[in-house]
Amino acid sequence: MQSKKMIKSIFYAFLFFQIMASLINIFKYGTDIGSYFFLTRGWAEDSSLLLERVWGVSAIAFFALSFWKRQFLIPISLFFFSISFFKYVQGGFFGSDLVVYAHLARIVFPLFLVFKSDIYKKWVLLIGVASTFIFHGIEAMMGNPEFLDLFIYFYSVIFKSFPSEQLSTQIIYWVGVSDILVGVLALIFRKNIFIIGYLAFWGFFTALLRPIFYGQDGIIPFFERVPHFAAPILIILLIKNLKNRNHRSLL
Amino acid sequence: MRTIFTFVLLLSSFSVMAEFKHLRVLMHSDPSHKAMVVYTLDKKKYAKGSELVYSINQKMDEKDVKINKITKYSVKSLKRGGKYLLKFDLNNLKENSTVYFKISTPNKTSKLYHFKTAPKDKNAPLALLFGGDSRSDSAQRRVMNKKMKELVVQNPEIIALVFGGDMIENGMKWSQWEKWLEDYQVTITDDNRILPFVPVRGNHETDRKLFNQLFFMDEAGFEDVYYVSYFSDLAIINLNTNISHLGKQRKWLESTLKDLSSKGYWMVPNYHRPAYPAVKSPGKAKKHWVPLFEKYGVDFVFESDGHALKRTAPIFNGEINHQKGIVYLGEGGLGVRQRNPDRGNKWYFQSPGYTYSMHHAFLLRKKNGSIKVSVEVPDSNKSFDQMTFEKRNN
Repeated sequence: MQSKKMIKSIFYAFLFFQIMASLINIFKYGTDIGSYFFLTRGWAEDSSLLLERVWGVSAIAFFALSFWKRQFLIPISLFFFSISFFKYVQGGFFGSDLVVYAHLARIVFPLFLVFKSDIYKKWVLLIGVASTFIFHGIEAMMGNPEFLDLFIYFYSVIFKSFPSEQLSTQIIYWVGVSDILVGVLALIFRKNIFIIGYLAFWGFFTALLRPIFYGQDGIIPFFERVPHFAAPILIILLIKNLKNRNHRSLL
Repeated sequence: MRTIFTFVLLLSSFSVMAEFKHLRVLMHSDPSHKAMVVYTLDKKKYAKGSELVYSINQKMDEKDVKINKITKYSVKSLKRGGKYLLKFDLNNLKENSTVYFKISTPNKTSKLYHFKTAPKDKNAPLALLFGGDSRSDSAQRRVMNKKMKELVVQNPEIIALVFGGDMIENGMKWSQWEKWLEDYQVTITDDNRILPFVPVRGNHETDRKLFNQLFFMDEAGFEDVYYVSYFSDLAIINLNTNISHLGKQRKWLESTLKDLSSKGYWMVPNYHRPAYPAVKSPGKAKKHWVPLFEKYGVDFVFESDGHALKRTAPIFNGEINHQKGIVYLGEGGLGVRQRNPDRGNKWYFQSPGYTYSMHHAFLLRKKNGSIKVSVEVPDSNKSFDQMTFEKRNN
């Protein structure tokens, strides 16, 4: 009972940070939701900003309401979907065609508590995280310059010199291959704690690279990526619970 | 009778323009001596027998004029849209001169167009237009193109438009490129002067290959779209914020700045995603390029992407510094809807900095050892703002 409460609290804490990061982003810089209605649909800027801000604040309201009825987590998932979907619609960055799939962990993370069955809980998170890994892997293989710069900078912090772009591109390519491989393996060997543990480690490490690279400007991007490591952590807890002979739904 | 005459006149003008669709002049590294005359073809066979004749500083009907003929051209098939580009390379041009040219095929001859090459003499007056972000709103884009045409008429020393990227919304859609290229024809003056174009890639030019084809970056050996355009002793350092900031480009930037600085050039970087934005979050340039700008003392910077007019206070090492600081100008007002930049109240917009929601282009005039930059806005004959930059002692 105690651990149930604790896990629930951890989930809500992670989700809270994820929502707050997006909300700060909305108020500070705006998102592609507002850009779409302002630039593409021709709305007044105030109206398009108001729309995305109301939508962002609603996510917090749904978050509060989800303590009462967990179905309120569904519109939070829709909120994250809308952010990614309008990124796809607006485009203008590397891999914009893949963004919804690459962001699937963020999109499905709020759904964790919606399902009663631990099996469904696990599947929804697993599909989300695997998709995020596989599509980030594809982007890496395609030579996403964002990943390239993260690698070059991290290397320079450790070794005090810049690696060549050619070498970095090759390394990022193979990192992409390994991301795809691990994403697929996680779907096949879904009870293997080492594979899921690696997803959690790599998800955390790559999220952490944002504040390392951007400094203060990377804090929000870090929290936006909370599901990249929080979801695998919850999957591990579910695996452990499912192994238990006296298995009862975790939450 | 008058109606029939007008109709025939219109029809004939359409047939000439149809033959030389999207006519434009491109300049890359050496605008004093090199230019490319480019137009779009619906079918490859229309290229057959094309030739370009040009004269320097004299119209072709003048006495004793030397006429040069170019019969060699290249035709390339565009990645999208099923169209072709025909290009004439004009090399070995005379600096600081007016180039008059005509294109002809076995059936058609164009009007007599002209453009100007850049001076080499650092004391010669020189002007350039700067701007970015013309996507999403064709009507406003045409308004700004008309404004630039007026500026060219008023300031004949203007050599080219240096663009900061995001010409269109979706770089993979030929229909958008086609519209943009049509709209750019508005910049041609009534006496057929063409405003040459210096390209930089923005984040919405998503199809790298198509962009490089359209602006002949592939043939010029600038596939990654970072290069220097030399306008006498003014070096416009065009950078690409769509690719790695830390790899080859940073290495190139550092060696280029070191070289230009030692030779006493005016140094003006121009790129898309801003380091000191009016609206959005800062790009990677802030952390990885700005320290180099400060180390080598660039004179000022042009940025785009934010869809707002901005002038920052002079910034050095993350603080306002009126002695060593660099002014960042921008950021994208050649047609895209302008955003309200009030969000965030950023420190670097304190006086003399500002930011407004206003379409704009920058007019840079280099004269007598200083550079004057004015902010030009539509529907006004007066500059919105003017600033003067003196050469730094690096």
